[in-house]
Amino acid sequence: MPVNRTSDGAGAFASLLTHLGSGEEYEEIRRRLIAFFRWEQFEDPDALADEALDRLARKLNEGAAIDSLRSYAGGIARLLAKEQRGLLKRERAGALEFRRTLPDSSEQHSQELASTDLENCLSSLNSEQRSLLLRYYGGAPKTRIPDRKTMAEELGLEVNALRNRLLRLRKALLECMIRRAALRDDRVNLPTIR
Amino acid sequence: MNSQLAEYVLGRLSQEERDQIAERLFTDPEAVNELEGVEADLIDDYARGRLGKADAEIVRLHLLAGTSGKHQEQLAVALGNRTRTRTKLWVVPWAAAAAAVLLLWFYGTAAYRVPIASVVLDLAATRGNAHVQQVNMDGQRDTRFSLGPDSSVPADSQVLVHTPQGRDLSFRYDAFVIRAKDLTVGRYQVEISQHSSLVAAGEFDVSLAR
Repeated sequence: MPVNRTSDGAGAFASLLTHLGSGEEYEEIRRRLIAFFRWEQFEDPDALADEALDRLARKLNEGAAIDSLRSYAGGIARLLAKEQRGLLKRERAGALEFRRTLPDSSEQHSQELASTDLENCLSSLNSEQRSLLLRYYGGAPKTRIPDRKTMAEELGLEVNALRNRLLRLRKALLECMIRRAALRDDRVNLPTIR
Repeated sequence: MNSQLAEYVLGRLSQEERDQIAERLFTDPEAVNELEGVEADLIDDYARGRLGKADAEIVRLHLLAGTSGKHQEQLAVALGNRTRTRTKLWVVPWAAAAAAVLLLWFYGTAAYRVPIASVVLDLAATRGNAHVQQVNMDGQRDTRFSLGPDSSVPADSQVLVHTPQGRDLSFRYDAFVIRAKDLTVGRYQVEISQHSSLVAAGEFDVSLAR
């Protein structure tokens, strides 16, 4: 949850949290906003999601009657996307070109470390979770749908429930790998003590 | 994969269609999971080289552009490697010791070679196998196996070695020396030197990955 709210917006932000009732709902809305701006192909989905949340918070603070905060947040997001689209079009073309040509000499080494991280993170899962994950994400695209249907049947789950379970596992793996990479970076960047 | 959702995630739908899906994203509790599932599959397909050039470019520039994009890509590549061709390698230390004694007698003090390991390829993608392990005078054991003749392994493949507990030994160059080269078209030889201290571990997973 971002903490860098301005003091002007602090009251509005508090009001938003009160309306949401839980930090969990805040994170759910933020997750959808970030995904929306990513799929709308904006450069900084996180920042735009925070801007949308700020606008939602201000509306609430002004006393707007809102039935569904998620739906209202979606409306704000679409409006914000429209505003930004023209504004960012030219900048984005330049930025993408830059990213396309950005050299990364350590890419292979970094991937080797990531593979090691994956193994370590996989070992933190139980064997059922591990084999589930490797099977679910290991299939070929052509057989993906029937394979997953078979998996779901074997486990007595709906396909959607299986997908959600695997998304959570994948997210946990990703977070584990990010943590390990951050720890390694910290070690690399430690100042030399004489 | 739901093709309309994939088209949405790739930014290919008309504005009207995009608005409809975006509306669902904020009103249907399942929509975000559905779309994130499609996105994960696209990222996996990208990481495994299964997308066309245009789609791959969109995934790289947009879906993997966020703060966690680099890690998402690494996860997808590592998962792809992990689920690719897998091979089991069983090491039998006692057989090595017995054979070493015999061959030491036969070859005198020169480097000697002892077949002690068996390699079993357990995926249809990699047919054929070879089972040779060599023991050198310096206490290292070299295991060689070949995939082929009808396996197709790209020349830039890596060899991954894991213990049964999932510990990755692939990059411990002090413990393993791994060499792989394309001998002939469709045939691949992998050579692994492992330090004798690791032989007791008994069983390793060996896999090839790009």
